[in-house]
Amino acid sequence: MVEPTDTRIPPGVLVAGTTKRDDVRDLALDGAMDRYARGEDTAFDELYVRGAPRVHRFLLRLSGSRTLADDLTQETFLRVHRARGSFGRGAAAVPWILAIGRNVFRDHVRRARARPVTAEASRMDDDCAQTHASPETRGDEALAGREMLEIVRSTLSGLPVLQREAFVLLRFEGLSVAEAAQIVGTTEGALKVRAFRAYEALRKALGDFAEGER
Amino acid sequence: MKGERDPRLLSRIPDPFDGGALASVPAAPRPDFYAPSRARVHVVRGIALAAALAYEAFWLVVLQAHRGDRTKATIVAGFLIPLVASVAATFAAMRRGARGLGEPVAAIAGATGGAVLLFVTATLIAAPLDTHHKAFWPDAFGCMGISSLFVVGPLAIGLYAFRRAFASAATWRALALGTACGALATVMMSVVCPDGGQFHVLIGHGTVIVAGCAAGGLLGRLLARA
Repeated sequence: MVEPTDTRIPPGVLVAGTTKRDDVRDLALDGAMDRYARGEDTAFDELYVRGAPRVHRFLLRLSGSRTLADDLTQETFLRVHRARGSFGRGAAAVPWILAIGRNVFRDHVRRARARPVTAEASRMDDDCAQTHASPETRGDEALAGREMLEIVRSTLSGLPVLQREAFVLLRFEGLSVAEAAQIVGTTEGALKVRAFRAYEALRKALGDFAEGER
Repeated sequence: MKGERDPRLLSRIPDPFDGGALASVPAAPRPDFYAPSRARVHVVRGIALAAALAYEAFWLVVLQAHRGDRTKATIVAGFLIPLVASVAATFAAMRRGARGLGEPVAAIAGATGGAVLLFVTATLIAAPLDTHHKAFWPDAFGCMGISSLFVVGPLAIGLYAFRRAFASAATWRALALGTACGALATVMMSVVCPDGGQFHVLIGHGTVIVAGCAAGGLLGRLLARA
């Protein structure tokens, strides 16, 4: 049986115990996308302002690099522009745009396949790591928290892309299994297996870290 | 065990990118190339459908429809079942789905696989036994060649009309599209070929369904993905 308590988080580290779920039905974003699909070019700015933060966040978590996430976000919206006529009337914009963002990331990975994953991981920007220790936290605890987040970051970037995207969509993007499976284009069962393989790898890495701390 | 795959367990893993690192986004790109609106896309797809039907009609005129008598069984096996298979696969490919990303992969695979299975089963049950045993393979290969002519046009036109159209499950949806084109070619083949024997229909007329399915999947992966 899985023992989630293995992954003890030191005090002072900001941890999302429950996912910060943005509703998949963002009506303002859906409206902007719908107007853009109808050919209203001026809706692009609103679409970008409302949609880009979520896409950027998704791509940052997938790629682990802020610079890369910046580039991929822009490419995603260029593809959104190109495919706008295929956006269905009354459809939800968030899953549609995230699916395109995922395609952009997969294409990037394919192009960069010659490079080993570790090289990609090493390019991660240092400022990406979240190290929000509370002021009262002791230095040792903050350090342990930073190390733990670094372990999550490096383990995540070393995972196969299929597992990484499944985990990111379920854990960090807060989507349901059905929604994530549709974005990835696979069955719910397959997506769950991928996400839990990632979870096991992360749990093991954090468990090893916790053992070392004792 | 089910409890071991409870998605709530995932929230135990801390988010290394939470907080400040997520605050900023890059400047908006300026798309300076033409992208058709939804209305224009609908017009293009309507024209594509008309063009695909015109292409089939052209080859029907060139190859001339078979005018011999047809039994109910050959009509069911040769026309009705492939037509149902084609429509089912078309719906699987085109339907928008609850979230605008198309139907779930399991539904598309089920509809496409079901369409093929329906064609095979119904042909085995409904079509009469083969009679021209000596010339079976030459006839079958001849029909395969002609049916590939019937599938090429609609598939090429379909992939053009749906280029960069599928944000998700593009391979599966293009595969369904290819199956629909293949089943349409099977219908056309039954119009021009007088042989309604069950194995002739299955192999000579039906192989193109599998070929369309494979071609759709392979090409769709490259062309139909948004």
